[in-house]
Amino acid sequence: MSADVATVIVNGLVTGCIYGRIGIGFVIIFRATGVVSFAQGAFMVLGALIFGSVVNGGGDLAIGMIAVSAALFIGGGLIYWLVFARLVGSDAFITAVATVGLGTLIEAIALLIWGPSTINIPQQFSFHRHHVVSTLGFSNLEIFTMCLTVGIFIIVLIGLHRTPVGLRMRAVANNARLAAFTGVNVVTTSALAWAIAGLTAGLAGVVYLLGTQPDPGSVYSIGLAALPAILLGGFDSVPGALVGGVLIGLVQAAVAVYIGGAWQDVVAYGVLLAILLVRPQGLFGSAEVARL
Amino acid sequence: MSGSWRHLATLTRPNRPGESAAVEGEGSVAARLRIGPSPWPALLGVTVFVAAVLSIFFGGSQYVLYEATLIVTYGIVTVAQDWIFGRTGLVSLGPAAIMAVGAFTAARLSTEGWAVFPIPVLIAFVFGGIVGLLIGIPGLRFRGLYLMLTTLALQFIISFAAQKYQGVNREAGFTVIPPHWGSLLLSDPKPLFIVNVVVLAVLLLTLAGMYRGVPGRAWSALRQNEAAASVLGVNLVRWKLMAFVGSSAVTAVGGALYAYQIGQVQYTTYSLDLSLTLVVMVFIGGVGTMTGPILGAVAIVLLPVGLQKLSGQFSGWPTAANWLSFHEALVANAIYGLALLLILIFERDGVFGLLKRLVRLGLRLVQLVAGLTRRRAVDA
Repeated sequence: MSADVATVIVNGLVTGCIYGRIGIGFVIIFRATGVVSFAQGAFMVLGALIFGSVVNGGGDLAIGMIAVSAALFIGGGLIYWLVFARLVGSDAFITAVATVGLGTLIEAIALLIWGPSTINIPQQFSFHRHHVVSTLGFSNLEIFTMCLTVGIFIIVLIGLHRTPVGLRMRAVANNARLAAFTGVNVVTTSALAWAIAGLTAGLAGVVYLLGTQPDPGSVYSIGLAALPAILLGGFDSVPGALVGGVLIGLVQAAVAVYIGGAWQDVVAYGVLLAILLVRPQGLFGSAEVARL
Repeated sequence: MSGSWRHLATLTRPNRPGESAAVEGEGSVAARLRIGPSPWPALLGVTVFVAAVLSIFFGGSQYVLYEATLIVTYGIVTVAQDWIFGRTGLVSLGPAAIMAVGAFTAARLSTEGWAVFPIPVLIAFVFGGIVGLLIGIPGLRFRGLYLMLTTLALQFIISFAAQKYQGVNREAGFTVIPPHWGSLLLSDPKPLFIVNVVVLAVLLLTLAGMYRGVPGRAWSALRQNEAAASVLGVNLVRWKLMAFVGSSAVTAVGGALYAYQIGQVQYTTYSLDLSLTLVVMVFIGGVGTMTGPILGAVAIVLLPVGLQKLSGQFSGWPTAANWLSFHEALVANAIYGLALLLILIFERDGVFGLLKRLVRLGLRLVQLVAGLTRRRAVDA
């Protein structure tokens, strides 16, 4: 196996895991409340900045992740309750524009508090690579990223399909009005969806921060870069978010190695256009048919 | 099918004066479809507008003239965006990309020696229309979410193409040689301002006429319910494409005029950020109204200026002044974001709606005072 192919596989999987983590929150929000969220990037920025503060303040990896999870869980729920519970029944474009405003607001406030400089944290993982086959090896950080992502997906899937709370969430996603008639508290359930989305996006921000030393602006734009992956997987499919994320991640990594890094984003959006024209519901999504 | 959309026009024809007593009532068909409003607010608005234009033109400093021109240019673009999502119910997240098409066209033509005034702007108009057609064709298949993603993808792809084009031709960006019309040079502030104002005025008059007539009703019908509109005989393909092409052509003209004012074209200017700002501003100003998008353009230009002025006011409190002048862009962003959320939650018609409420409140106060004085007169 040549070194190039190994780089493509490793980078693709890791990027794909970050896309998947953003995507899972996106899908949960979209299914539960019908909102297309452009604010996932802002949650990532918050996650990365809070994690940076905790770790630089003496906390270790676990404490930092717990702090980020708690803060963004509460933050996500509050945002639904404050903003989107009041926009129920609005046009999809209106709520999407609202998430743009929300993202701008959160990012601006975060940068006013923390400042726009790059987020520096002490190295959390050694650079040692565990070699699997010849040149194909993974560092501790990459293994951690992938395990965390797969773990989150398993927890969310079990939670959605095997617990009473998950049943209620799926009921709200399927038909909010009917769910309300059967006694499900729609507002609480939707707030929970936003809380989970905040948490997963925040952890995606943490993982991105662990891998690079980014400035907050580039963290924010990753939130948008995940959109092609989400569409490829299907907007309302939780496993699709991971599969789509990994596929787009692999394509982008291949483009970066064989064509050039500048082409990464534009190729992702080209794929997005192609999917829209050929199969708009994505790989696992449910088709929405309206014929005239 | 084509031609039978006229039924719709007869169905929703505005009542002529004297035809029905209930025309102005909130519940009447005319009021609900926003057809045939009273001409007085528009007339008042035009008067104020003309007064403002004249006072800026004759009394304003160079700086005021510059900012006013910028407002008018953004106004052209925001009005064109409102055409898409305020009037037709379609969606676009890529106005900055289309501005870039206009700007690059103008810049390239100026270096080729094609700098006689209306020609580059007209070519930008045509190119913008062609790009609009390209966006409109997938737009025929999709609504809402999918259309939003299509336009987002096009924003990235056009921006990337502009980057490559600039990289091949002019690494440092294009310098725009301003066009001339006889001896008038368009880089001079006054002719440029007048050109902008004329373009905006022509656009507003044309659109006002269209919104009141058959096209406006077709767009209004397909905004409210596409299936129902189609059943009524509205030709969806025709009207959707017309909105996309028209709006994009106008946006490209805005981009060309913007390039003339800035004097330089850089692909980084026409980013997704600019697109989102333009969309957000239409919502803040008041989506689906004539005045709202222009108020949005005013906000885009004046909010940073206002913050600058404000930081100058804090002279006795240097830390606050420094903080504000250093974080101006972020504070402006926070205000945009917060204002957008508040407006979407509490007042869908934006600043325009707020102003309308204010005027109504003022009128009620006047009536109240008038009533009180009358009662006092009767008592006496």
